[in-house]
Amino acid sequence: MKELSEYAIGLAAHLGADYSDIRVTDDRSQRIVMVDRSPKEVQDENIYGFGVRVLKGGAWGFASSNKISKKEIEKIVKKAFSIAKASSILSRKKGIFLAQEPVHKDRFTTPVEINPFTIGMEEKAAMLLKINETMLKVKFIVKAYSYLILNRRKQFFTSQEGSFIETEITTVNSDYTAVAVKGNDSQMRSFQAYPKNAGWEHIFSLKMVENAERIAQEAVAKISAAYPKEGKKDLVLNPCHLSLTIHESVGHPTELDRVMGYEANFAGRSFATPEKRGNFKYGSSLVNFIADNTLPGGLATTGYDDEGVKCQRWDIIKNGILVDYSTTREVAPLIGEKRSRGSGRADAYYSFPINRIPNLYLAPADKDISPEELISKVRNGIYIEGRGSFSIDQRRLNFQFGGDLFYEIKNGKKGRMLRDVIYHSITPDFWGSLDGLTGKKYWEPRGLFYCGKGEPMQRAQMTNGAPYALFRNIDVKRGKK
Amino acid sequence: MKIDKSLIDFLRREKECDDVILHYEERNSNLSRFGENRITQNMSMKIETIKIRAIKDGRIGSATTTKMDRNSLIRAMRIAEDIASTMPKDPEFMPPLCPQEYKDVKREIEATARTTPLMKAKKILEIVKKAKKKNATIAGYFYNGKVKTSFMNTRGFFCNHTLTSAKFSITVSMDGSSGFAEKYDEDIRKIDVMSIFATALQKAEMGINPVEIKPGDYPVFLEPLALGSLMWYLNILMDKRTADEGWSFFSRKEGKRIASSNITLFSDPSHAENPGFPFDIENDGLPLKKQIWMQNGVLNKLWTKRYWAKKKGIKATGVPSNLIMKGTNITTEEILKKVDYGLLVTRLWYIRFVNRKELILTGMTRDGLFLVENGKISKAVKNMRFNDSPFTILSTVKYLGKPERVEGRFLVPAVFAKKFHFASTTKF
Repeated sequence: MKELSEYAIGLAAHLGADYSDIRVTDDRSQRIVMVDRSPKEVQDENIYGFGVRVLKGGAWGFASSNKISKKEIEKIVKKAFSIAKASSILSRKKGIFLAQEPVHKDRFTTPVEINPFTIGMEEKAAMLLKINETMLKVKFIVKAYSYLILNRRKQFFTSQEGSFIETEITTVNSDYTAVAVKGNDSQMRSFQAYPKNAGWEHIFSLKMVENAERIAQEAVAKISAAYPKEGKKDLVLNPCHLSLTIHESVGHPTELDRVMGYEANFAGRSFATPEKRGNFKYGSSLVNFIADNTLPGGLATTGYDDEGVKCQRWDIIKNGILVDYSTTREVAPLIGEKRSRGSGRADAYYSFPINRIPNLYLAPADKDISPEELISKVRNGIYIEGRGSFSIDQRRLNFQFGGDLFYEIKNGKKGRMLRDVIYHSITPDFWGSLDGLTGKKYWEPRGLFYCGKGEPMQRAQMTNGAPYALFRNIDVKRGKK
Repeated sequence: MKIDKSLIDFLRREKECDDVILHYEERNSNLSRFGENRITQNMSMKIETIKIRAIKDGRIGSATTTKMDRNSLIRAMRIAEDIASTMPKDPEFMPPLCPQEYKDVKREIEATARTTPLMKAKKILEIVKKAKKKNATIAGYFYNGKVKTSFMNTRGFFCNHTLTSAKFSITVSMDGSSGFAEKYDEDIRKIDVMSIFATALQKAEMGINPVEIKPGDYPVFLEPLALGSLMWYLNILMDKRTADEGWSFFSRKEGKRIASSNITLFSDPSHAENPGFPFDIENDGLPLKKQIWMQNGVLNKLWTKRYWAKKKGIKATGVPSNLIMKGTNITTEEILKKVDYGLLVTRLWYIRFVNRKELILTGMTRDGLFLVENGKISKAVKNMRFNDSPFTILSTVKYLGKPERVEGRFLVPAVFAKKFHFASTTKF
């Protein structure tokens, strides 16, 4: 593979490329989807191919193929080069200057205790079937969904600058949902497990089967729960729930490509513009966001990104102030940075790497505060667990979130269950209202498996972590007519 | 490896199971993406996949490969067979289809497939020049591609379909405002990029200095793009099984009025203005035929997959590949003249379920929200979040316009409806 890759970049250089790289990607994936007692999808997939990126005259060209041979590589390199030349009639006036990156000759592999592909499909399907059967035994449960996705990406990255990086990333992901129907009413509840770059040991540790009955019972209980009273309330959000709020209201607005207008047609722009860097009050002084693509088990912990930049750890928001962004080699210099933060990722061999959210987490409190202590500070509020409805405007200001399970908080105590709670805020107002965090002991990393961005749409995965957090005076509504 | 009917004999010869289903897809996609008045990404993607489903005694296993030779095909078949042999019996198993008849839907246009990155770059360059004269920046993409699909099984079933498609999508930004327009067609020659740009530019110009209005119920004039984005959710939820199981908005509603009497919704893969995929790949290749889902506001039927149709003793429709809403010949301008007061919505964004059972959705307006007063657009409005059901609109539609194609899947008119609930506002 090294020989073919070096041939590709040698040819690109010979043609006159200012820069080129090639990624040869071998993706293996196993997927099982169980609906009730029916295995709907039991599949082993192998997607193998390469993509060549060429920079010429201040513009990119990219071409890819699933045929791997010297002849095909030659054809694709020439195609990428000709596309770059065609694009150069509309290149940036000053050209594209890629942020510097040391030459790497390295290998990175996800630490895996139990290779998930060595576990038989029979055992995997049996686990999902057991979960579904357990949930279906609970009265009023009419539907049970469960799935298991195992991915392993082997990639060879070679650049014209001399880097040769081999990576092998393993990701495991599983979850399930129960649907309850009582009369003309219905509710859903999910286990809300989380994906991790790890082996089968992670799936084993989730205790999925053991929780199935409780999840089903909670789905049923949600039907009889009370609706919330609308108005301003304090919210205590659990780490799983908050991971999605973080993703949408901090992760996306601080992607530098969208800040610079690259995503204006689809994913949108951002309110967190460069002149705000170092001075904009994004939230209260408790708000500290750290990007960390070296986080053990993090979904963006890949050793190197798809531009050959080594994974790093850096601050995004410090003591409530916006201090940095996630960047690629192309956009980092636009704000005067010499080095990319290593956030250029592609979802397949046929995709062009774009600026993606890194592993990003809200730092916990220094003190050892428990969730119960946070709740004790609330007179009239709601405790929200898990992810539900989510939506945010294209500059990442107005957002609205639901959740998966809700409890009323009265006079410092968690009370009755609620249903169909949604809350709305404006990003800096929301983070400005952060008034309490639990300690490190209660901090949890939560992976996001499907983050969509780009045209054509690409999937990315990353981990967003959080402790439990208390927000004051948030606008709560009913998710009902 | 040649992918045609002759492959069926090969599969029959090599299989070590009861039946094999093969799904082949070749995608050649070419996309020129632009932002801040330059090309930011220009790519040519090729992906060929073969998915094999092996069936053994009511058990199913699948394997997918991108390696296009007969040895790799056999390897994939063995993996699928191995999986099938370890699976529990599928209680909802349906045997593969025998040969079926399909209506030929021609959607392959050579001019679309032949368009080069340079041809597209030149068009984008022309637009950039015009945008710069207006102190505007543009972002978007110009796509052309070709997808070949073949589907076959060892019972002799074979179908294939070739689709070329092109799309030009653009956002024009100026003075804190933005305007959006796009068009899809199988034939790239029908995509007039200058006129699409002109529409987006006009929206951006009109959107400067928006005013903030109070959240609440407003009469709405949804352009086809905005209505089309709500149709995705109808398409997903119009599943008879979910309705029969009691957890859908459509539960217990078949045969009942659920929309205004001027709403008729159907699908038809051979529709002249909005052709669709002629068979349902997720349903074993079931031929898709014209189906009327909603007639004059009454829910006529819901789509069904093969297993549920058999259980209910009805004919399976498959999942529709297109949706068409009947409209009129009235132009947008003519409808506007009739509107005393309301909000004109260009585009909706980040739509998600709030309450699945009640079909309440949320989302934001984007790239063109305007107040209409006394038959004219009076001012631009800061974007707002809606929390409401598409059926609030569909049950209060007063005027329907001329249908337009959205996303290459929906053919829907602009509609003026008496109310829609906006729950909050944003800063721009």
